[in-house]
Amino acid sequence: MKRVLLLLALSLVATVAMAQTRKVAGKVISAEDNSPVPGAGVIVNGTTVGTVTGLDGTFSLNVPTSAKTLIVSCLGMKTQEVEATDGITVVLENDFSSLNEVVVTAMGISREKKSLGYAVQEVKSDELMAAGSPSVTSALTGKVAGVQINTFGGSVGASSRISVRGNSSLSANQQPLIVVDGVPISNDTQRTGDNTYRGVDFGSGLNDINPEDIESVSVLKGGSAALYGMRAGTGVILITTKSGKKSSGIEVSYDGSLTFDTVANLPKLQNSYGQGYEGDELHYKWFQEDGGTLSYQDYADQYSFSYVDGNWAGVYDGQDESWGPRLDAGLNLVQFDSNGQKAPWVSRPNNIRDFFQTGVTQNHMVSLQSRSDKATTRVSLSYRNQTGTVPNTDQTRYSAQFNTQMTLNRFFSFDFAGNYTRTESENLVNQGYRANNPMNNLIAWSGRQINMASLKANWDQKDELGNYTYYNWNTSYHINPYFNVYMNTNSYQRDRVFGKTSLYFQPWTWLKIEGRVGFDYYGSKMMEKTYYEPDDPEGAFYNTNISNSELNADLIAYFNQTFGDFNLTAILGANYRDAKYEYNQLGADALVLPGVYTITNKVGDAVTSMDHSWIRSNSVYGNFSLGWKNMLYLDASARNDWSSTIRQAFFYPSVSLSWIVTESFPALKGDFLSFWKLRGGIAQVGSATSAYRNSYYYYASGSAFNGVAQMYKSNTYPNLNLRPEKVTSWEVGTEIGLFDDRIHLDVAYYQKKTEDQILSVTTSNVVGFTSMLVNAGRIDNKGIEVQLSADIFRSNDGFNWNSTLNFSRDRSQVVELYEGLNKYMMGWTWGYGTYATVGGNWGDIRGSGLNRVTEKDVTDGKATPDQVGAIIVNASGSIGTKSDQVVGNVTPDFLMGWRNDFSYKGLSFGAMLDLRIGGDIWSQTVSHAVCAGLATITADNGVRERPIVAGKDVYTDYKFVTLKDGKYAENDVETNAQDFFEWAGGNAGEFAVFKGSFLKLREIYLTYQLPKQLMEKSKFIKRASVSFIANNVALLWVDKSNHMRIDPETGGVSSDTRGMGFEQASVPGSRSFGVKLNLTF
Amino acid sequence: MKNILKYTLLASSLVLAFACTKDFEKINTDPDAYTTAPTTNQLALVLTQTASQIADITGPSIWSGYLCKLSYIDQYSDYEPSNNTYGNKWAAVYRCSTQLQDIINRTDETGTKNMHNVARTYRAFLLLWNLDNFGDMPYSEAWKGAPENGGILQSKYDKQEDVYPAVLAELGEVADSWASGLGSDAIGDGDFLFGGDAKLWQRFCNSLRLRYAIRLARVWSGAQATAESIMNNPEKYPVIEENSQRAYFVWQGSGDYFEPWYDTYRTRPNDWCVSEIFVNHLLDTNDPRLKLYVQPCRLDGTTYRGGEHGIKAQQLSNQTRYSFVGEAYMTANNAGFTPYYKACETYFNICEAAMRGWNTPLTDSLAYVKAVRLSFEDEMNNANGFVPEGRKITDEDVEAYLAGPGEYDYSLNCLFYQEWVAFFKQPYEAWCMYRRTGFPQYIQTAVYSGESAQIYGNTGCKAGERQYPGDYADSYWGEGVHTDVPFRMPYPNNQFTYNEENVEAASVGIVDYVWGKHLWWDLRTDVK
Repeated sequence: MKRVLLLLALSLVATVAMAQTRKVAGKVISAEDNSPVPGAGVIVNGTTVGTVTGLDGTFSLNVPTSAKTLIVSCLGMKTQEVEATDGITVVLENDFSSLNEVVVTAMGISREKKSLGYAVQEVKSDELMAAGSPSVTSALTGKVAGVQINTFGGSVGASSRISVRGNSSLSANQQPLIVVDGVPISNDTQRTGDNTYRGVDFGSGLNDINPEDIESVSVLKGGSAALYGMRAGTGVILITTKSGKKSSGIEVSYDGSLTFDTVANLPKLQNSYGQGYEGDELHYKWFQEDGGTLSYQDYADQYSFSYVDGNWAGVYDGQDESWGPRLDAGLNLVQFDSNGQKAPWVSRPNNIRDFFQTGVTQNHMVSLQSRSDKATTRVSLSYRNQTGTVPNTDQTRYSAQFNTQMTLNRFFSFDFAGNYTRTESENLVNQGYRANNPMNNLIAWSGRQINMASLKANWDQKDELGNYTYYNWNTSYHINPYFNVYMNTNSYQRDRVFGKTSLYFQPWTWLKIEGRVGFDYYGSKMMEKTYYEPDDPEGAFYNTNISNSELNADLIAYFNQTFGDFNLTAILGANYRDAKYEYNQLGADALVLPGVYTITNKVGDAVTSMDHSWIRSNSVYGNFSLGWKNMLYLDASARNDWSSTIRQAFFYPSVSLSWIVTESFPALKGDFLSFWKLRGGIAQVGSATSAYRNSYYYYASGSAFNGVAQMYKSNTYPNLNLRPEKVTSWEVGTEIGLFDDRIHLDVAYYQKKTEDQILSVTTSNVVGFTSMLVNAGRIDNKGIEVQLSADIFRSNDGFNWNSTLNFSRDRSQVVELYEGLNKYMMGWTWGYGTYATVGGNWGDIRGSGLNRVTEKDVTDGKATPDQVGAIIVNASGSIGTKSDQVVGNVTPDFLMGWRNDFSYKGLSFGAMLDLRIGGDIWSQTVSHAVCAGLATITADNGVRERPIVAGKDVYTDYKFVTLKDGKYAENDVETNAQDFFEWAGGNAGEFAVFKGSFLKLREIYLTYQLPKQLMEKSKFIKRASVSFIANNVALLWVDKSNHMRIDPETGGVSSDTRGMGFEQASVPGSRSFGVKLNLTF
Repeated sequence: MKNILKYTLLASSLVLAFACTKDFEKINTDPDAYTTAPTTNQLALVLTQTASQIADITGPSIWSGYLCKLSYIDQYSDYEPSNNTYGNKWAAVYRCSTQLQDIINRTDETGTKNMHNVARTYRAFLLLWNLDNFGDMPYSEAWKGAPENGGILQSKYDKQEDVYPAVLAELGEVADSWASGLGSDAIGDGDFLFGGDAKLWQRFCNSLRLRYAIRLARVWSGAQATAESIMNNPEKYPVIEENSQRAYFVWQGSGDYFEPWYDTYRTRPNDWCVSEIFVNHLLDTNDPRLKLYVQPCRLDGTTYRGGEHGIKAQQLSNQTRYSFVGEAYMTANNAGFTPYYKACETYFNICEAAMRGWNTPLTDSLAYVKAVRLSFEDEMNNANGFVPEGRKITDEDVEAYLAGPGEYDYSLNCLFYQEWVAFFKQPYEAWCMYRRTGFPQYIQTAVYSGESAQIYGNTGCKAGERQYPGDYADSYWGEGVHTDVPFRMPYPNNQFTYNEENVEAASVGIVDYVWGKHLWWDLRTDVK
């Protein structure tokens, strides 16, 4: 009853207030060409009463009689304050400065950037999409300081890993929280398999968003994310989708693009020697020295390579290595495709490239935008189809987006945003170290002479009984790569729905209350089929269904009040979150009839699996921001979280300050300095845990034996009092605008301390459990981020050149882990692991290292100080190894993105360079391609024609020594290339570590905007532009330790932290070129 | 008014938050897990997980002279072990012992005596296997749980001299417990080893005690008394004496549970062949079991040719020249078996005890003949059904062999070679026997010394070039510094990472991961 009375009273007050008004009408025009400015905002100063201009730039507004001035603003133009007189004409000037930039911050609140006491970087749609990036993650790559994005390989739909401000957590998943239009959505990676031997990468959840639907992306790096409490520990990425706000009236647009992908950055392979063993000139010479009298032709045929069945019945025909006879030397040898006859033994330098095809991507989007006084709406429908560079791989995406905002009256308004995406693939390529990953028998193990055309022509060859012959160059370990991609397929279907709706009630101008419900759902279906491959000779299939949903309900109150020189804005809110996940798998490890993928066709037990997760949390949060005279802003926030996964409640505070020095001391302002801001803040955020980690359970293993379930008590010791990870960070920063803000510099320095890490501490396995869950450890990070933007040329109607540089560097130190524990393994493959080591940086790569000269050798008088670190070659030519050595670190020294945009009238051009220095990688491809004699270094410089000395003939960038009379001297021990590289690739894994530095030309665009005059003539096209676009254009430079020129951004092991620093038979990246068209009607 | 609104909002937020936390306990309960598990299902997991490790083809199958690698010999992963090669075996022992301890804790000697004793017997079996493989191991400080419960994260290593007797003492307790009568509880369908037959578990328990009394005969003071009490009290301490009582782990034959040697062949058919050490011995001694254990090579379908260890790669260019393992044991038996204890072993052990002059129920010659007959009977039963007519063994073949090349000559030589042949597909026992006795001598003497070796002949290598795997301990090309197959398995990486101080202490004297320090009962002095 009371509430009804209250409402009644409120409406009376409002009616009275509305009655005391007068009408003000006017027009807004542009200073540039006096053309009307549609969509400019006109607000009565000191109130929220306002409107926007129509298509002809006019507006009409009822203003309170007390109102004196109006604020007129439009994006990209200088805001003006004018007298509130009827019939006024307002002239707006173009604004080149970013001083009044408005950015989206936590909880979707738009704030003036200058008022913020912390770093937040926003990327707008034109910057994201100028070059027509195929996905959100690729569009963001290199564009935000302090954000590292790794895309795992060049296969269609590959997933990505995002890290914000370095790496500070030990958990596998430490990607930032993704929030779209104020609602968190899942960025789960869909990847099957075991991270080493098998698996398919089905992509990242974030890429369900059509990048063309994005208006802007804000990255909250540190304290700015504090309002997200226990989900903010690894940063937050806020995405705002496009609305109809920018349109003038009703607009219909078509955006289309057509691009062609070609494989780029193929690893460097030798073309001098073919398949086989001991076939080089040196081995032939030794054969002669031992009294052999055969010609090289006969030696090659009888001792090095001759094909019978590809399965060891010939001479080394089962061998999948290229240590065989010299190519192009006039030899004739029996080969897999020569029908038992001798055929010319010739090089085929392009055989790997020939396997790949030109991928085609087409993108079509129709969008409709409308704006009226009461409502703005945008609807878009899009279709995207991509075929990959790997034959028979594809992805199709259908999406629809709907976004509307409606003001019902003075008190009530609402908005709705909805997205639907269907992503489908007929086939995505297999990954991992199995015969079904075609990259393994193309790049890691292969005969360099193989003729790809024969494999392509005959992959589906059948015998007289109708059975596949599995025609291939090698039948002992491998399967024809074409058979793999056509017969061992992985299909995918994913439906994604997310969106939100909010109801707003604004009883007074200073108070607005929002009720919001947001929802995110996806359902994924994956079907992995194997017809035949040597590791799955009876065929197999796995059908996996995953569904995930998250519901968020928020009640938020916004306050905004000015008291004299003070302005207070505050919010107070509560959140309810409920997240459910479900996983079901059904499959078979062997099939009765090949090629029939249904459960009744299984041999033995079915493969079955079921998993669930359910998390609920409740939170209250608040933020207040106090501004004084547009020069000093104080921000404080607090959040309290209750989560079902953790027994206690947690509190997260933050405070920050921003001071516009040039406002306080206007005398400082001049031709040189136009703006100077100092800022600083401190915050505490957290990272909560996954479900079910604080109780002891028994589990059943995935498969039964003889029909009996196999059960075990959890091998992980649970932690009943688990707490969320605690991240305390502080940062200081400054923003400086010079020469009328032509040059704008933003520098941030931060430190963060991540404590109470949730560690699954591996024990020495004799303890009684293999791991225990603890809250322990501390990792400190500090770093610097620089954004430098310069308008080198700017002119309203002339030549413009803007250059933007993003630089970031993050250093981490593992301060402590757990009592008695000084190493923690995060990822692993092939005997190498990524570790956090106390006293070291996050991400050390540890494993077998080479035997090197130590300080002790110096004190023992065996070595000189400059020899420390040199690799020791034994008298026999061998090199010893030492286990558990640090052989690298996955963290880059720094990252830099440099963007240049040029425009002249309707023509614009832009390019972006991306530089990474450091970040080591252990590569299985390198390891095996060296062992198998494929890598260029195994045949360069005539190393197979003569005895070689390590350090002089091979690995000349390394220093090798050998013991002579009790002292180390420069290595001169002779050995031969085959023995040396087979050992170096197979046993000395440290040689497969390279520096992941690179310089890439990431994207280029050239756009022509058709002249307005031309458009005005045609009655129905308002705007039109055509662009030439290119993505992932060139890998310009890599470190010389990367002798195979492997793209340092590819992966192949896992899509999360476990995959960092490892490369495994990944699909080489692709370069795409194409055209893009925009038409607005 | 302003305040009212503010407080209403605040209060409602708090109410919302607190009201909904009451379901948190229910929400955070894993629907895909259990709060308890039947012990038989837990036993099932322990049996299959450890069987996968015991049946794994790598390592001892080479070191005991049975098999030889055909592919990837260039890497010598099996001859020159590094830290992580056998870590999974170690891990399985400790992990499964934890599960068995949980069974032991949840059962007792009254209502659930059989399961209680089964868990203790199998745990002892695993610990003894681990001792044989690695030597000193954490025992007294292991399995104690979380630190707050008194657990020790970095456990010290106990000496083999202490652990062997302690484990055997526990087996003795179990033997006495069952000697007073079997329990009434069902072991259940998770018993893949003996199908729930407690009597067979009792036999297995006593057979293990007998096995280790022989193994430790020269180093453990309790050996003779233990062996004699078992051999001479068949009522109280029954052992495995018939093939029907044998301890064989039989594989399901599908899914994740193909017999592991078969599974290796299934996906990598050319990786393994039979070693010439074994093939030549069977050929030399005219042993009929050759035809069951070994297949003629694919090249001509008639010749039995074993792989030469450390052969120059040049001679391996055509792999069809080498013999594969017999069909029943590897290539054609997806639901094959992994022997843990063959009935013949009991009689080989009695034979050896008799030769030591211990008090035995049978003479050495009677025990020998019984053992050989049991071995033939077992293998004929295993494999006759898998080979073509010409390769089947008949009873006449057995008698002819026993009267001919297989006749007992009262020598250790005769006993141990016979035992080695009988241990086929049980490489751990053969490797232990070799380390304990030096038999079969071929394994060590196969080392190339620059002159024609007993088995190898000169294959054309120059002195100092690679010949026998043991040569490579130093390096890939190095001249041999070790003259024997590994004395032990290397301690796993996991220990060096998480229990460094203690494993370093236990590693004193170990050279190149696996040489240098002998096991307690390995008294050889002629190997390095």
